[in-house]
Amino acid sequence: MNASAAAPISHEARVATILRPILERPSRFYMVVLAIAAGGLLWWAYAWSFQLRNGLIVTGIADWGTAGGVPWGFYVGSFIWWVGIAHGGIIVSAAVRLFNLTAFKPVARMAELLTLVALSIAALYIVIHLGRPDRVFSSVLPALPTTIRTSPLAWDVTVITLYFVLTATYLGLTLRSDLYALQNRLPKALAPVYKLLLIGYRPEDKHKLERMAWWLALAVIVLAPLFLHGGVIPWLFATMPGQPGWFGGAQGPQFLTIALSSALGSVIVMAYVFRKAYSWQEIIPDEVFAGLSRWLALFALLFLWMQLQQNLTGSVAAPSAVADLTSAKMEEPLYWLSLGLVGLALAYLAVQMIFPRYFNVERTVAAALLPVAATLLEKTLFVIEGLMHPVFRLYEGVPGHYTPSWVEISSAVGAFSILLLFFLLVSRIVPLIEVEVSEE
Amino acid sequence: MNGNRDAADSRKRELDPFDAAWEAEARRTLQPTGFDVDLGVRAARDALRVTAGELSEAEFHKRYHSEYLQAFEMDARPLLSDEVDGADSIGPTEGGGPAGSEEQPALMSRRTAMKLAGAGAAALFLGQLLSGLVPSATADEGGHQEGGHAASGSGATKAKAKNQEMQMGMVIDIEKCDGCLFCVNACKSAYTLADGVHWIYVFAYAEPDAPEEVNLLPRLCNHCSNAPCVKVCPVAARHKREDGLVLTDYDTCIGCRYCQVACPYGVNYFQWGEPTRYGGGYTGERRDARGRSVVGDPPRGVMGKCTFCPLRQDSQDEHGTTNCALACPHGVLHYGDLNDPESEPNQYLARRRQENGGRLETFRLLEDMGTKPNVIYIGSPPSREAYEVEGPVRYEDWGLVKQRRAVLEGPEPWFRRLIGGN
Amino acid sequence: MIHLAVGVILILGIVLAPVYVMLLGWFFGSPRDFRLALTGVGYLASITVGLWAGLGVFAALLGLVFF
Repeated sequence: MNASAAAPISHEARVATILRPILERPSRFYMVVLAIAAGGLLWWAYAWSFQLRNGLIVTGIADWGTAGGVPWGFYVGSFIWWVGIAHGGIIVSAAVRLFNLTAFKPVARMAELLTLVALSIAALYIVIHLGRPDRVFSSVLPALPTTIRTSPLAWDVTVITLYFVLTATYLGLTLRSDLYALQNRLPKALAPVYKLLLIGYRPEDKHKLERMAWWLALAVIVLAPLFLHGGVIPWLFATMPGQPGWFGGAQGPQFLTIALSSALGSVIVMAYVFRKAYSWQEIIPDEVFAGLSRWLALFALLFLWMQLQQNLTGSVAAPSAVADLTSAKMEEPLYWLSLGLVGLALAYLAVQMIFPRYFNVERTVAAALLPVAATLLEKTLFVIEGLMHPVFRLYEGVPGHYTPSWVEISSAVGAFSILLLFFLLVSRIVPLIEVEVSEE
Repeated sequence: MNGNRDAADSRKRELDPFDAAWEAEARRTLQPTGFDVDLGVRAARDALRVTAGELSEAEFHKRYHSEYLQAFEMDARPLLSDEVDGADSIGPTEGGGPAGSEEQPALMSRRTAMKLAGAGAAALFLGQLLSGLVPSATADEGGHQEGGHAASGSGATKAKAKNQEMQMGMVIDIEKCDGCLFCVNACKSAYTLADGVHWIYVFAYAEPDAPEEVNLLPRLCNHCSNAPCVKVCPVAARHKREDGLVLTDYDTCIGCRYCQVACPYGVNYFQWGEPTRYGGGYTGERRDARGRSVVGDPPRGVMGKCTFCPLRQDSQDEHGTTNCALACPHGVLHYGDLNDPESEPNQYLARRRQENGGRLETFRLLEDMGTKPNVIYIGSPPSREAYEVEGPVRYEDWGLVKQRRAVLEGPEPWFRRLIGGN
Repeated sequence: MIHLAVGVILILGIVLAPVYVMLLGWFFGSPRDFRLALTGVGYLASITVGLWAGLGVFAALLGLVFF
């Protein structure tokens, strides 16, 4: 199925292809996915309302210390994971705009959309994991000037908001030229939406908007990897000396490698799904997957390398609290499963790189799924193991224990349903691929 | 023990201390302790007279001193004033009366400890019975016949160095602790803590090189001066009061549990569900003097921990006391302003140091974490290899749940029941 | 020397630095177009407000129904 050698299609044909999801009637497959996603969402709404009525007691989390539980579990692990996936947007966009890796242009917009929905889901996970989510606005905002001074959670809230706003602005700015150019071809029924998005737009703005988008990408490429998933998110944990599994400067880089691996893996999977669904082989040619998979291989390698850093320094001559946690971590089979999955993906992608004749898009996508799954597992383990092996060792007589309950697992169902519904909806409103700039 | 609920019910009843109904109730409460019921009833009546001003503390002390020594092998009741010649004006008299002190037996027989456990509970219930009658706050002192430690200074004078802020804290003499768990039960009763919630908890541990020797360490919130929980709270619900108490504002807390995660001491207990489902349900006064909702077992969805009894600190008469310190029969817990050299805990430290020939081994928990904890322990710290063992009194003996996870089973959804399973 | 808390230096000084650079680029980078730069700032502000207002409404609803 190697479409890359085909003659380039005309601009007109390209535009028509890109507009297919918006203009065509939804396929049966689309309706089935819609039904499943809607069902998933309803199921999760029930599970969450069950939790809201009865309290967090319906989850598997509990106090650490004398109680023998862990207060942060799957919800926090999922939160970290979804923020990681949200980094896919900026990586691809920055690669295209700042580093001129134009081969990735076709997947840039869908990656940015993924960022928006993944960040929203991450924020939702924070709300879900609170005991009093009804106070998330009224308690957080007024206290922010005070709490911003010392609370890593306040920093977290600020930077996530910032990343969301910047990405949405980026999308808003870059969508406008596309929508303007396509005005006549877009469905009349959605005209009010397009009018709203195009408020104040003038065609001569295009150049300036491109420049602004460039500056934005520059800001985000520094902000997101270094200060969000390599910054405030790990700092939630890295600043806690009472939990030696968390403390330390290694968490920043470690979390970043996780974000990059899971984000790229997600972009690869998502690009494949859309390519398949709308027969976009010419617009998203195999080169895109080959290129993305090379970067994924690099990030997977860095992920394993950071694990090596921590495991080595935690085992050789570490202070006893760190040593205890490291040996507990390394005795956990699920930990090796997560590392193994990433290693397997790395191995396959490396083989593909070294021997290009083995390249295959489907296998690449399958390999890309592995770090996506593995990082969720690894992050959840990180959260709970840190709490199971605190410095205050006298509690070891009541070790922490955790199994996610049906409510927590339902949240994953809900999250994926939201993801699906978002794309099912948005794909029918805006073009998932940049039209103007794909004029190559 | 269903003491919590009995006491709560009793408080609501109108009782006259000198009528037959009260006496019958008192006898019924004191019976299971195995101690002299008559003594208990007489002492309780006289304690009431003390609070009513009809009897002096010194006289009350003198009247029962030798009977106490006979029945309990000790008399750790406080003297609140310096009316009696030769006695310390502040602090407990340990095993001694006004004329001098006897050495308290270093180890109490287990039988006596058990009986004291029951008697302590009885004393608490009596105290609650009495406090329902006497509106003034001093009723608790009358009711706690097992003694505990007095307010720092008489007449609630809050002496403190002018240029130093108040920092309430504790001196805990673990060499005197015998693991009776009176403190644990006192706190639980006072604040209707849910099952398995131990704002104060007594570790019983052994060291690998002396496995038969049981060491005891009560731990409660250290109300740190550089509290990590205060720093990380994203809504400033967890805060430090002017007198040094670290408290949680139940109206602001969003239940993110970051304080719990940041605290290296593990003293936080979240309210995972409706507290009445598992032994909780505090219905008392929640607001402190500033009007902030900080007292008692927290409502659903927010975090709680040891509060150093803010209502006591806010009051005239009970300032400088905590429920746990009052309940302790052995002089383990000493509460007061650590920044005041004249405070009870500091005086106790000085006295112990003196008794020990000028030196005293003290430690604070996890000192190198930079939290600046305000609980000073007299004794030697547990090593890293220390491990928990069963103590002389089990939590179950008090009707308490030791490990909270055991009771944290949430309600089942309808479909679970439908498809079988329990 | 004013004492500044670590979070203030971190957020206002370090984390927001790229955003300051971006804003400078928007306003003073070529081609100069203050109107568009302001539109960009308008996007930033309105999305932020919209986000938090939406969260506030959602939270209030939750409070009404469940608490």
